[in-house]
Amino acid sequence: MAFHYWQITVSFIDSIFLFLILLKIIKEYRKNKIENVSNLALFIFFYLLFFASLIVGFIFFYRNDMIMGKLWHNVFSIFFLFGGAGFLLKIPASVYLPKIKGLLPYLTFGYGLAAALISFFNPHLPQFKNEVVLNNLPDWIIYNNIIFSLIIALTAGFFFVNGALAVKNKYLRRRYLILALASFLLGISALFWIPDPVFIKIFSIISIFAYGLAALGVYYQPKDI
Amino acid sequence: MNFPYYQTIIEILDTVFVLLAYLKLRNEYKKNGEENTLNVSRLILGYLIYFLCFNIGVLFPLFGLPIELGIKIMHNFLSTFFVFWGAGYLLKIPASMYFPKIKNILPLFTALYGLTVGLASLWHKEMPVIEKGVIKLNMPDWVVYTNIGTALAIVSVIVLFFLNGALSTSDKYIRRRSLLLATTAFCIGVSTLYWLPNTLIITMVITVALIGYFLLFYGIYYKPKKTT
Repeated sequence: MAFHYWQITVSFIDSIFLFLILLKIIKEYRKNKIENVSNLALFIFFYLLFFASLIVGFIFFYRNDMIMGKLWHNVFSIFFLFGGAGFLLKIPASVYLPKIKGLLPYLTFGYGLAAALISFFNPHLPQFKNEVVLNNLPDWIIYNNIIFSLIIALTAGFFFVNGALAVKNKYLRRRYLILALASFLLGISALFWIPDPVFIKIFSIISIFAYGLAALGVYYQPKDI
Repeated sequence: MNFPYYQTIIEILDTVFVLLAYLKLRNEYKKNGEENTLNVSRLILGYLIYFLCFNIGVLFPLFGLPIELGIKIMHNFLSTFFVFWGAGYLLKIPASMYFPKIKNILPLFTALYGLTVGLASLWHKEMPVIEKGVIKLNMPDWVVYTNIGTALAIVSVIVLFFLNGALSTSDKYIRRRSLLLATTAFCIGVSTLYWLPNTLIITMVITVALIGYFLLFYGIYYKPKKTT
């Protein structure tokens, strides 16, 4: 059995970058106690759980336990990823939907649970092909996951591009552009859901750049002019 | 000839409701000159062209033209393009708060998405078919699911927006109008499932769409009374 070193290595590197981002955001929250910063921290926390589930899934695949691997890789990970997205959505909702913003994480956890249960009851098991694991999820889940990830990532990308255009400080502009590029790359890397070994390899590499840039953007200290 | 009478009649009724909603919004814009009213009216215009393309496409067989041409070019390509072009104007409304510098590129962006999925549908090898009075579009799977996902994401935001509006006001007439428009958006959201190539689902959801577009017309024309 070929060990899928590709994905486990990539997921591990991605999760280190994410962990660094989470540390920085928690530090920021301790300083300023802004609600939106805590929402961002919760989103990143669930994103980390998504990566942890993927890695545990890969370990089960390595032990040839495809059922437990499927449970962690295709079920728990999807639940954490989409559930946590609700905390990110709470940030713009605090302006437009102040009365019901608290409902959003419930809604996204509901979607995450539905997608996770459907993945669980999907009769197809994940399989190895050319050193990667193909998730073999139902088509509609794959395409919905891609489009939802793209919508969220593009929105974040536009937000940062707008920020870059709105500021005069060139260091701040640089930071916004780094974060915009990270968001666009993260959006594109969502195509790794497509069960094709070539796609998975290409978009896994892109994801390393994306998370690396996101960490760089978060830690980059703009100088005052 | 097996003419898709059921779907056509419903789509024509939808078009009438959408046309009336568009006229009201244009009128509103002429009065108040607000940019957001213009954006909503352009969204509705996109919907109107979408329905017109569809209905003209369905009429093709009556003039001896192949239905594949009418549905594939008029519906699967042109209408998809216009409906997503219109959606960009809707997105401009929240964008004016969060992305004021780049809000104008959004319709271009969604039109590009519409063009991509429209062309993918146009070049798809499967042809649309008529079954039990409704048209099965037979678009590529990824187009079907991404269209439904995108439309549902947009519509869910609108539903939440109107629910928030209903909870924020103490005026019962304005609350009623907000709830009407939330139900409208919900019905239109459910109706996007008609992209699924299943006769039973199409039959059910186009009926839901009819209710949705009627509520849209009713919600836009509904005048909240002044509470004392």
